[in-house]
Amino acid sequence: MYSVYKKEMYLYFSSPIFYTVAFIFVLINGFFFYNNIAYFSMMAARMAQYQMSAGVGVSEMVVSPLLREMGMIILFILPILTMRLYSEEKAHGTIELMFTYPLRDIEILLGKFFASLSVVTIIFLITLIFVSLLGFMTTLDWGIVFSCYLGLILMASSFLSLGIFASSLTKSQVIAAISAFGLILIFWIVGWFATVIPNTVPGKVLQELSLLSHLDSFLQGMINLKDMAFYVFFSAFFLFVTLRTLESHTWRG
Amino acid sequence: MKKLLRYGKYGSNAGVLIIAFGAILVIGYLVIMNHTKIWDLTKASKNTLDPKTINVLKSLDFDVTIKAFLPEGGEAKQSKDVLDLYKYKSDHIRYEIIDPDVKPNIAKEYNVERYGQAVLIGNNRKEPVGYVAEETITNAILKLKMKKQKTVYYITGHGEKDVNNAQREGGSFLRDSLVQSNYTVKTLMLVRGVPADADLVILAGPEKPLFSDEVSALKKYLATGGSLFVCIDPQKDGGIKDILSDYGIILSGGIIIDKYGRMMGGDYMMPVVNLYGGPFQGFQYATIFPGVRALEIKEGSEMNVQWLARTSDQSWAEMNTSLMEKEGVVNPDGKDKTGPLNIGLLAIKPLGKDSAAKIVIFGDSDFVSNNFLLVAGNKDLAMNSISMLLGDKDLVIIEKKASGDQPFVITPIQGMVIFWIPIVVVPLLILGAGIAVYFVRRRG
Repeated sequence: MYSVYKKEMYLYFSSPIFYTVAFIFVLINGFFFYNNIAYFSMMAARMAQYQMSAGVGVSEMVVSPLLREMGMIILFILPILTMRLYSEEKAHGTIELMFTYPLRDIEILLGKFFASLSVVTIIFLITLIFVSLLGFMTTLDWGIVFSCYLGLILMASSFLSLGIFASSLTKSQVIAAISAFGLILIFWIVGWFATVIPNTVPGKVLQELSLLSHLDSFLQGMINLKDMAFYVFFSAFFLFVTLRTLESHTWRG
Repeated sequence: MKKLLRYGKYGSNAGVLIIAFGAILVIGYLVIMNHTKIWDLTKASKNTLDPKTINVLKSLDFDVTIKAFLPEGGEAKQSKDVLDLYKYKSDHIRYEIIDPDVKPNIAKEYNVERYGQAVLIGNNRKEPVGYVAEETITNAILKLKMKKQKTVYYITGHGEKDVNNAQREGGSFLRDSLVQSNYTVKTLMLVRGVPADADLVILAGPEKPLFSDEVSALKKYLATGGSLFVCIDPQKDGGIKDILSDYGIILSGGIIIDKYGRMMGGDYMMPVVNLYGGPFQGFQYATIFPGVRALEIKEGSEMNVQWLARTSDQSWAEMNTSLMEKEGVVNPDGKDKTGPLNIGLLAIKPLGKDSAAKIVIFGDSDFVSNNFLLVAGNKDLAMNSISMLLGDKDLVIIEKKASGDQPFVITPIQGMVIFWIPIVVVPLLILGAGIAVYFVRRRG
């Protein structure tokens, strides 16, 4: 598994895709970050005037919204990071070669998955520079910062598992990226349908299925075992489905 | 044919495996969902219920259903977060967020007048709350738990706001609110003394002073650990000046004027109150007092007197009311006291171990009249005062948790740093790294 991980990491860092994605992601979030702070600063001044500053702090007003926005942006960029993983091997015909490796499918899959997760984590950590910058200027609630990043990484792992699954279906990277985007979007917006039919069983099921709804507790500074389990199980399920899809190559001939 | 058979065999095999694996995960998730664990990482423990609430929930032995009436959106989300904490801590709690615009009939059934109100149902009772917050919900659960229905006596006969009058100047809305909160409301002719079953006596805006017999009846009632909710309008004293003075309360003269903090379209004598203290610290709404007098805490009094509500520092108490009537707008002069001025006080006189005489006083009775009770947070303020007086030692006070962060306003230099580093420097470094890698690879 480790050799696959190393190979994939090398491929990521030597390809322009990583730098382009990181550049765009960091630039947009830098903008959001600046915007959030400017807004907070304005609100803080206003609230001080009305003597109601209690209850809202920088961590809740700047860091949590920033991470929420990051969660939205990764919807668009993670498919770009995962589209290559299997599609390229299929297009180049190296996938047959891969099946002959003295490695089990699951090890290859996990190698690819953890490589992409590491890359995403690295991109996230770049934005931690901004947050630390703020930490120098005022006191931050690092507990909230930690839970926010943990939640975002867990959500990203679910996105990646969908992306890898999409990549295992086709040899066209474009199709892989678009289907990954579509899949993530579906699991993103099921929560919206849930709000139309509240207090019903289907509504609750859809609410639980929504990738976004499980991020909320993390953004508030909580680690809820249920939400953590959701992201882990969700990722595990789609990695399992990917494994079965890959296996089908051996019997489809 | 052979190929098709093979497809069918392996394909269905894979399908079964996927379904089985999915089912295991779903079951696992459902188990975790019902036995979840939450770690609160915030500095101020914002996502953790107060130990007082936890105690209340631990001793809960009936199911409580909470119906919160809110449209979809930010506030609904906040209420949901609070209620989730209750649900997490107790299996007896269930809740529903209902959009009153989508289901107006349910909202009507529970007398919902405003977004954000909630009703707690349990122990064969209903308990409404003005908004969802830890303090309101916990106290409402406590009230559901209370065995006996409390009795409120309402003094009549001196031109008080009439609880049977449904007109604008009447007080029927106050009675309705009391009944909704499970209190028995009875009117009282004070001459006959205060009945033994009285849990609270209300004196809302007497026009004429009480007779001396009535005053002594009231005095006697308080001395045995009674509770009094009293509203005295400007330039009146209801004949109970001496009682109030005994409890450390002085009725100041004049009428409060606030040129800035007044209601939109209202006149200068209708201050909007946003400052709350004592047990009402953290009260969420503004309240409106049309024609209110200031109250003072008597110096050197050994009573425990706390202020509950105050007007802004822009306000003052105008003593020269005749000039005001003549000329309309006036300005404060040397004789007038300037704000912030107390308009609501709580006085407690401990009597022995478990009992105490308690008085909540407001310098205006119009705020509980039908005309103004439902305006802004007036009803919540009145009902909170009353339930505080009635709830004696059972109800709890939970302070709103502040953020662990300090207030923060950026300086221009910090603004520059926050602009340049995230938006220019860091992205450019990434771009530079990408270009470097590209050239190194091309050369290699």
